[in-house]
Amino acid sequence: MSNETERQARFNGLAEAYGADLYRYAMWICGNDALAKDLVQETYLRAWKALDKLNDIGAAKSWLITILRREYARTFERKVPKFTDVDAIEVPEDTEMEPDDRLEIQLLRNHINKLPIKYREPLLLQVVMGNSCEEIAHKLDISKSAVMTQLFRARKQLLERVQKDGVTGNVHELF
Amino acid sequence: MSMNFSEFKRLLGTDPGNRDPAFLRARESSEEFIRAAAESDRFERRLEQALDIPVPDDLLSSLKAITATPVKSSPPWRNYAIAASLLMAVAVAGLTWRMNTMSFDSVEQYVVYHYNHDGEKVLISSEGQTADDVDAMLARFDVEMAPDLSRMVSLIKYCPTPEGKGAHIVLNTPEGPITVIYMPGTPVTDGEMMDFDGLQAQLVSLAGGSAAIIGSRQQQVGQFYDLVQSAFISVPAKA
Repeated sequence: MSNETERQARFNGLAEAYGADLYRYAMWICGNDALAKDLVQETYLRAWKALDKLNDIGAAKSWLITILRREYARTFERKVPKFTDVDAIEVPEDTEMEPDDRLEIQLLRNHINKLPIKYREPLLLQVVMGNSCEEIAHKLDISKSAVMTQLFRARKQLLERVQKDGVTGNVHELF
Repeated sequence: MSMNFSEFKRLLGTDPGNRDPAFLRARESSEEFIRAAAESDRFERRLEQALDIPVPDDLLSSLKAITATPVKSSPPWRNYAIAASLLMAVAVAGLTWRMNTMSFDSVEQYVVYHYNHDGEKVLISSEGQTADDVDAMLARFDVEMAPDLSRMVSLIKYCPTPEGKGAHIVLNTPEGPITVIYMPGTPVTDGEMMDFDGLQAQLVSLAGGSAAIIGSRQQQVGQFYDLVQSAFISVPAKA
């Protein structure tokens, strides 16, 4: 296998492993489909050009998230627009989910989208990207205890809001 | 050492997937702990389902297509532009513009390729839509769109252009949908008309870039020249 073929295979592996989750992460932080796709494209374009600098494939996910966050910051250093595409994403009517479950997920999405970014981003890094509290602290450049507080408050706020909606099943006094 | 209920709930709220043995033992230590763990598990499943938004079908293929991009950056477009003006004088074509894997001899060729690539598809997906993110989308180019034009926009998306990135816009006009491709940093021959595949296009020179207005011959795209020409307003970038 030539070096170039190996390089392509390595890159394609990263696209397959993390492309979808990075899109979800981007979509939840920027709220717009076109911009999310663009952010992921830019992230992978930069990754492709700098792939030879990635010595540890185990660090790839963290590396890609860092590139994406920088690209997002660069995009919005001029202006922070309010996007609402994520509100419009509907839970598909698949046969395995009851209407009440779909409603609950839809309401939860709306509440996630309304969470302050300081609570939303650690939650995304944990649940969507599978990062540990230490990794999140490193990425956001805050202490681990601050991350834990933000994660707790994010969940607490979401739970309180879905409880107000009256569709939370048996979850009552969890936090 | 066993974990008290308060600590346990705190950990459920911060790191429910924690694999610490004390936490795992606590999950099954009493009715109270078991019930809280079950409620947390249910909430986490819902959270994961809510965050699991659909990913565009073409995402992976578009990412894999990046491997066709040269690793070393191409010479800047400006150098090509200077060379082009010299070469055109002696009627020699030979410039290369790169858009991902494609090469183009001219902006006209790019416009034709780009429209044939997804112009019709974008028109179809714009039907019945109203774009409310025009300013936000254009902000990255340090450009705003005048309300006369922005209120007609039914769809806007980013697209590759000769200079890197621009916007693919659909206008909802009384004559039907019209496509405008905004090309930052790309010079054109202002007002040049093009005919291709039963369509008509007009190139418009703008401050800091250009646009191509594309529609059917019946739509007479030239009538939108003034509107487009005056609608893209440069705004100073914030420091």
